[in-house]
Amino acid sequence: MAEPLSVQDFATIVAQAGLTLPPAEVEDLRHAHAKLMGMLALLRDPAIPLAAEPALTFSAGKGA
Amino acid sequence: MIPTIAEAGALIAAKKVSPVELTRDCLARIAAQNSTLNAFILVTEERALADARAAEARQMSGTLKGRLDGIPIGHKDIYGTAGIATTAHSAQLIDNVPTRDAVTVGKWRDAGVVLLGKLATHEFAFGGPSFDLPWPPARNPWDTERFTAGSSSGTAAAVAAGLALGGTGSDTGGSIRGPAALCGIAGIKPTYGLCSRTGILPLAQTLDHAGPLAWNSEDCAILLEAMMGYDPTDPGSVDHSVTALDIKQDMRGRRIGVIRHFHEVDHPVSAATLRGIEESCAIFRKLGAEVADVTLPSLQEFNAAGWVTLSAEAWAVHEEWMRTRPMKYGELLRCRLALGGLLSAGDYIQASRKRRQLIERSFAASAGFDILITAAQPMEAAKIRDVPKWSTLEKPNFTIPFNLTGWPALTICTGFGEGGLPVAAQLIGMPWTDGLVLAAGHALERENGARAKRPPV
Repeated sequence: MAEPLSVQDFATIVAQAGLTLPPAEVEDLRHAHAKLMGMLALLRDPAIPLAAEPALTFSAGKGA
Repeated sequence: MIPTIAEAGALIAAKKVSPVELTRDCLARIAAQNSTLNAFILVTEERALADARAAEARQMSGTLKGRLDGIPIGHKDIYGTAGIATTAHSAQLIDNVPTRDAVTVGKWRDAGVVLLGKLATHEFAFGGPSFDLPWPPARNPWDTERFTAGSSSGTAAAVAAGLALGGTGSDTGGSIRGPAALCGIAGIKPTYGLCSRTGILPLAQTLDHAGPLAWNSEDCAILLEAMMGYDPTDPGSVDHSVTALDIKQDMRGRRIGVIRHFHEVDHPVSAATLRGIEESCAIFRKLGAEVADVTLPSLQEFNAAGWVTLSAEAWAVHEEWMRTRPMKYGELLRCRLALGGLLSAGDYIQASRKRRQLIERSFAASAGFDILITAAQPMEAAKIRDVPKWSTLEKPNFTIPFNLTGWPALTICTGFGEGGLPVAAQLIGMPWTDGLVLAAGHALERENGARAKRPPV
């Protein structure tokens, strides 16, 4: 599991998301976020080929 | 005795049971047990009796609409119901009364079902079990101290206990298959695009599936047949060729793939769960199928792509309220949604690219197989007060891979484990083979004996 972000760094990304939450929930979320970062690392390792398309690709005929 | 839908439908057609009598039986069980099970959050008794009387009139005049005419059901409370509160089990929507039925609700209405009421769900199909919502969480009829799983928790509890003969669920990461497993019933997440989601409150649109839960696979087939069909108002709906679900398809010559690494390596399951899967494989062999192991990408890879996709899309749905009135959500959902707000656009796109790779690898690995089998839940139901808040991040689940691929996936009861609690297997098919998946479930249920026992409540 990745290390949790520092309290200060985590407060910054919570604020960037526009969230106002009780302090105890923010602290709980900081530790859960570390687990999520482990998942995010799995998405990028091994690196996805440069030309790989996202699952949803715009199609002019069908819309997005 | 609580009849299955197939049995009740046959009795109604033969004029041996009145839909009113059947409905009164369900209402009596609701009156006796719902205060313990919390399966229904709204009982529409007057509507149910009116529906039942209308069905009885058709029965007497020989104009029954089909096998669902007069069958008492419930809808998960994220399914929009015209003139009837649809709250998502949340204070956010406590006064929400839709003016229209969801498309699938309308299809069942047109088939003649009797609407008993609205069923408990994890808040907005994502946050649960929660104890700080306007209604308590549903309880497992096999042991009311135990978890039902979620989010279609009320539907699974109601069907298992016979409060309703069937009901609707939704499945974004396993919300039909998980509750079906822990409550010892059947539930199918159909192929993505088979059933309309229009009028159902969304969780994550590229993963959301609508589908039924019932006592067994045969009943699921009856309910799903009446629920599926192309809907141009749902961008995910597909104009497919599936018009009927034949559960009598032979298993002889079928190739069954056991995704053994899912339930033995990636997330080892309980002894009873494993035994149920092995016994299911033995039944398939006895019926003339060929059984071999198959290797898909790891559960961990699927879960990473699945939970990032789900969290990001759910955040997009709830972003405004999370910023303006977050305290109207229960704590659990508020925290789960908040996590989605911390993801970047790059995270979501990487999950989407990974998803495409996982789908391609899964198709390649599954080539030549008709049905795949693995676990639906790792073990018997935990105590409801012991469910970890962040369970989804801690251990990979068995169901979300097939929300990512969109393949049909069915949970059936395979027997009973610790404390007499049910255990289950998950059967997965290739896209648009929903009928074959249900036929495989039906074949196993006829042989495994697990449908002979109802919960003690």
